[in-house]
Amino acid sequence: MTGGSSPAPQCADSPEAPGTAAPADPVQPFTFDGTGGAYFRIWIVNTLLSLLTLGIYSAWAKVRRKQFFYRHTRLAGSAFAYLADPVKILKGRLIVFASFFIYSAVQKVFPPAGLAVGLALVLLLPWFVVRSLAFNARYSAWRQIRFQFRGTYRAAAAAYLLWPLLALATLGLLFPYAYYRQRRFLVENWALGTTGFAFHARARDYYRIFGGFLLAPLAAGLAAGAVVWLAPAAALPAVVLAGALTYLYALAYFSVSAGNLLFNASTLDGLRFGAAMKVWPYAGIVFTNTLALVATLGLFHPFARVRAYRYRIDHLVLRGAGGLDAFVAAETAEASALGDELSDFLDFDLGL
Amino acid sequence: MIVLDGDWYDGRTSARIAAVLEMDGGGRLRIRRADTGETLLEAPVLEARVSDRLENTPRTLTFGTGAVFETEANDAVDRLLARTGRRRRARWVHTLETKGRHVLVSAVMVVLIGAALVRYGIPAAAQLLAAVLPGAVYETADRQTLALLDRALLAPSALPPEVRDRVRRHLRPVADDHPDLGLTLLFRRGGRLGPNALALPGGTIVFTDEMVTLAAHDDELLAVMAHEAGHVVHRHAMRRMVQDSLLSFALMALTGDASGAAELFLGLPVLLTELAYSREFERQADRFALDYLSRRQVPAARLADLLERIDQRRRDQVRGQGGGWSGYLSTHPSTPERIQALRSSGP
Repeated sequence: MTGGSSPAPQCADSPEAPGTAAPADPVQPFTFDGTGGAYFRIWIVNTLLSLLTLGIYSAWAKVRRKQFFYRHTRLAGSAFAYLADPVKILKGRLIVFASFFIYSAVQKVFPPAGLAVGLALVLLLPWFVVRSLAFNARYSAWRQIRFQFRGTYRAAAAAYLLWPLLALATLGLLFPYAYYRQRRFLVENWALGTTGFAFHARARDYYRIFGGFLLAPLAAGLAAGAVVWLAPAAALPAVVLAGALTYLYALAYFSVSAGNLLFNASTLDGLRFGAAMKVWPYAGIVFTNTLALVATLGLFHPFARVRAYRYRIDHLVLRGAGGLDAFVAAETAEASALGDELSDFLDFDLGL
Repeated sequence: MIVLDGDWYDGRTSARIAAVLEMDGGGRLRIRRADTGETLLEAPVLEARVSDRLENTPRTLTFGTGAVFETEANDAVDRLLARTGRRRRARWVHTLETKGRHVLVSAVMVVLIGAALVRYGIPAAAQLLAAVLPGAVYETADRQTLALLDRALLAPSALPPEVRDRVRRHLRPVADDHPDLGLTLLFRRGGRLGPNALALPGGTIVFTDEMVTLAAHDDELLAVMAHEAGHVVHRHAMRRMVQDSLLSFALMALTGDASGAAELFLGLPVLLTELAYSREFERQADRFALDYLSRRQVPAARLADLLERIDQRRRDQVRGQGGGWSGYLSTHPSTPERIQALRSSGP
């Protein structure tokens, strides 16, 4: 049951975690056995019921969607589970909608008060981030051991307010560092039961990724410039094509390299993650997904999502001599859905 | 007796134990280790919390202690539940998701509802919202839009002051006849916009110098002014702003994420839909202008004359530049179509 049939993915460029590392370490691949067709059925029913109930069903839809991806994802033969109660999610959503309504009403009637409320919302942001991560962790489980998120308001405020502000003040020079602090905040406060994750990435790894990310538009700009200079007649199509390809490549480059780094730098009690996604295959998936989405007016969405997710899971492994049977559950209070829904509403992509 | 294979987790550690669950005729469950046969748990089936079925993904029976029996034998779990007589809400969702016929009907309904929302729902909602927005919002929108236009596209007017005064005097009746709209006329050099007129949400109307120069008769400008007043009466600019936000929001909600790939594809349908909305607005403004002109006893042909000249000029330019992109994705209905509509409805 431990995935002996699938070959262990090569993971050449993963930085070795300090101390461990023997080539004979057992490798546990993550696997995903869901199909686009199966997700289409769930997605279309979710969408229809959400439309017919004016959005109320969307809380249940979210649970079904997450259950589909979690239950089809396995490690060492055991599937992940998503256990959140849709009613809690619905309550969180209602509170979020109500507060936004109040906020905009206050702003219309008495703009100075609107400013104060806006400032209060900014100061509340770290709290929402923490609550959201805690909610998501609390209701995610593997082998009935729930995850935990133990971040504090102070640490979240540093990662999501202080460092981004300093990045702005330094004209973006500190932006990769701020991003690094956010990733570190995510991983270091994450735990499976009582066992915490550790993060070994360094800030310079992120500077390298952002450097590469900026290189693509630069190269494309030069290429487009050369075309405009040499063959002005082909200028418009060349610039449009270069723009689209650059966007696609930069997007894939960032997802792949930041995703690989996130996992390769994370350990769980002596077990190391290994992610070995490659930029061009992933860019190919994103590109064909985009074409199919346009051609089907969006109906391809569930297939696209499954394809991209499968690629990520197929290139993820857990390695190390430690057993997977000894994780211990923690006693935790129930988390509220409010933070999670606000993040949903404000559209944070919280990674993990 | 129902027997199913699965795994046992005690809820305290991540150790997995292969196990067998049996239910006897009295609804009593017994879970045993698969290897030694040692009994792990005995409980009435009603004490188990059974997870909802989703395809054939693993299903769990959770007991009071936090211990869990997990199995992939979904049909057997359903039979077990049926035996207890407990009906579950998620059963019909599962039926919807698995029967091909239901999935097909759902898909057709989603497409139809989606199309109806885009065609009628969003414009109607935008109209309602635009009507309840306070005047301050309109003023702010005007100020900001004008500042943006001045920075990006427009330049100060180069028309002689006496021309501007003459045109202003000639167009005053439109503003006077609609005092509630707060129409304000401004002149700017259009540059890349060429001969054009713009109506901002709060009643600010901008004429480009090129438009004034191209007009052969001041009544042509009066017709244009009436057309722009039509946009203001129907709150077109504000409705467009609200529609755009609603449309993007609806598409985001539908696809459930705003990842890069989605953004890339959302752009096209949003653009095409906006163009369709915008052509509808032009027709509405034309009708408003015709009504007004006939009341002022100005020939409706004045608007058509000017449009024809703009169209002619644009075609000359296009031929000169050798690029036909702008005409294809137009915000206005095709000009010949509009001209014909105007001419046929004239007195």
